[in-house]
Amino acid sequence: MFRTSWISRRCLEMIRKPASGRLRRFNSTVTQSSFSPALLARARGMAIEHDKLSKETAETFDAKTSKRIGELKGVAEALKEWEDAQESMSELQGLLKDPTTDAELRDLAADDLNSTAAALDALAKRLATSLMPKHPFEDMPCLIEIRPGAGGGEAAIFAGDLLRMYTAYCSRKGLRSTLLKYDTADGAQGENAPLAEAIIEVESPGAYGELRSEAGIHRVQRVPVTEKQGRTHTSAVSVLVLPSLPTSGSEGLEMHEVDLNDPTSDYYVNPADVRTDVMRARGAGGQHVNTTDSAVRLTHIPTNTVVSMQDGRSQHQNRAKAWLLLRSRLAQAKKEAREEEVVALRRNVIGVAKMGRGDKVRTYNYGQQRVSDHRSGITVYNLDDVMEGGAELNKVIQSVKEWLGEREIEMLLTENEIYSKKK
Amino acid sequence: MPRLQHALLLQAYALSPLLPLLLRVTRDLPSALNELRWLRSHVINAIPKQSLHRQHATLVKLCRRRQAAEPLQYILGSQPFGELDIRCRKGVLIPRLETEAYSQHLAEQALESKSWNGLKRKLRVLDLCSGSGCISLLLLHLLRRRMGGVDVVGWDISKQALALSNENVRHSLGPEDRGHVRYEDRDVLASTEKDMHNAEAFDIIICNPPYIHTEDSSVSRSVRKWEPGLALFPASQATGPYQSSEALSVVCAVEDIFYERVLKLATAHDVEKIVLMEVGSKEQAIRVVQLAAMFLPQATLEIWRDAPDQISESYEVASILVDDQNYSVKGSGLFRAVVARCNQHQNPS
Repeated sequence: MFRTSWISRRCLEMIRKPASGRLRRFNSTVTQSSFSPALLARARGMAIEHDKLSKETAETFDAKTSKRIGELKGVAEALKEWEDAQESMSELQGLLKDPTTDAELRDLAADDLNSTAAALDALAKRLATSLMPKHPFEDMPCLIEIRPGAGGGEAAIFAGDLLRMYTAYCSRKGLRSTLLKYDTADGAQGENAPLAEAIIEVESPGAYGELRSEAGIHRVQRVPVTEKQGRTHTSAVSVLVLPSLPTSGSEGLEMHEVDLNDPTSDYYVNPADVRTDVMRARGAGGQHVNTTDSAVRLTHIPTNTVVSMQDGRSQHQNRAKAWLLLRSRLAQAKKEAREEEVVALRRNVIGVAKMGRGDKVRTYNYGQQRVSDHRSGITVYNLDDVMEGGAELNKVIQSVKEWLGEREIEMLLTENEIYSKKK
Repeated sequence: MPRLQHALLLQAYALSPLLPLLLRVTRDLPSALNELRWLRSHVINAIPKQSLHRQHATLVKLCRRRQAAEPLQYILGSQPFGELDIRCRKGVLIPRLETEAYSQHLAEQALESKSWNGLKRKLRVLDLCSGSGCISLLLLHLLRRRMGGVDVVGWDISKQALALSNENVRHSLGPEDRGHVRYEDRDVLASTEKDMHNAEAFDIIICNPPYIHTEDSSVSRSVRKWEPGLALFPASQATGPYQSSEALSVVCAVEDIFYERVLKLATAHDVEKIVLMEVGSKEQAIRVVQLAAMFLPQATLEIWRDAPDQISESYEVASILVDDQNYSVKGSGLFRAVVARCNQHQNPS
């Protein structure tokens, strides 16, 4: 007689209800199709402002107002289309509910309802993106700084893995990246030496917008190569993403020069505040010795920020790189200081949405071959592809970017609310 | 030289067995690490299609050369100089970082100079004892974008130096700039004002002559052993057509013979000009200032330190008294160059 061997009851249950009951970790739950009333109110407010301003400009022309109109136009149009779609949706639903509708019309309405619902989703998304405030550094190239955190040698090894991952990701996305600094922990050489600090410069414009969501603590759970007894370790690597000054390209150059000469810009660094130290030859110098020491150290005296660069043989290049790094760090510090004030207002409302150094943002679990992002809640099970900077990593990054966009809108709304309450 | 500590050598050996070799020359670990990295990337880039084993063998060979105090620049064959990459070869002096600093500063001053800024004609530069051509090529590179352009002439006595500087012209300049530089086989000590009168007047005269006394103990082992004495020690060249003059016997030491000649050449044309001479020490700087005051009495003299564009440290003096005359000292570091600015119609010749 044919008999199956014993099957675990749990397995059977799993087959019976696939995926539904399984454990899933979500840090955030976001539904795309529904629209928060506050957001809608904001969009309506902007549309009203748009109408009012366009009436005004019909009589008197003003460059400032017309610029503002240009900004608002996208939102107003998206909102109008979305409202139209919403209206036709409710009309169709009314038709379906109405018992007096004849059968033929009911069929047509049902067909229409499906297509309108799909269109509504797309329009809602468009409205959301049009509302999303553009990050001021979005179009800039960026610097990615990778440093091992808790976890000793294993953290350093994983930092090297992340460095390779981002380099591969950039080359896959067609972003031009160069290794700006590569310091090994105890001075060891070679491919697999433990990393103390690495900085990649991604030169393509827009790289900051692409990669800024990567900043934060990346956690790894695996059995390290250095582990003899097969225990799983948890280590952390911090990734810092800074906007960087564009150095080439006609558009970039313009921005670069404006930024450097304008004292109100984040990138303005008064050269008088910066002390340059170069390594001098011992003894008499000049023809007496031929030194190869080309290290340059810059100290920004007001903030006591120190940047040193010694990788290249050319002192000239070391100096240029050190300046680039100093500018980026100071700009980031200025921006963070400015944001701190607003954050103090927001914090009680939003909780931990600010992306800083402190928060763990992603986990790479080698045992389960899984990568989970704790912000967007996405989990992918193709770890190897992620570590090679492949399509899976792109999926993760895109999901975080979407999540980030939503958080930013939320922040904007609460900010508005707080300000309106204050008034 | 103090002995290297065993602990340091062991620490270096643990990182790489090649590091103790480099430590013998560099004396400290960070620069030994840097040099090893540069040597390694040189091996990988210069000879790309080698097996790993062969690459390592080449690297060991290069490290052994470095251990024998051979300058890294000769091993790698180049030295960055400002934005340029200058080729280096045995027999020609290696460009120094201090030279790079004052050359760049001089170029900046020439670009900012009010009377030269509106000048439509070419700026003429004379580089005496041009060596690898580093100074003249960097000045040409930095000044070529100015309105009137620039023309550079270099003089050197060494055939090897002339060959290398011509090679550097092709190596580091774009084809459109190559026509503006020329190197001549001239003995600076044997040249007279007559040679200068035959030529056009020069706006910038810059000179990095040999200036070290033969028995100076502060010359590093690597320099004494590997770099050409012709470019370092002037005493060996004091014979021949050169006759000691009266001025020399008054204030000069034997290592100053070139400065007297350079200043004499500078008096040939009475035009607005800058004369810059590299010096080796504070004492030498003072002697050169005395000499310059003798030859160019109306010129404004100043002394530049190692980094003339930087702010002086609090312990560094801003001026120095020589023969009851006050001369300003710019920048930070050791005394490195004497600069004379001459205006027109001030020479009493």
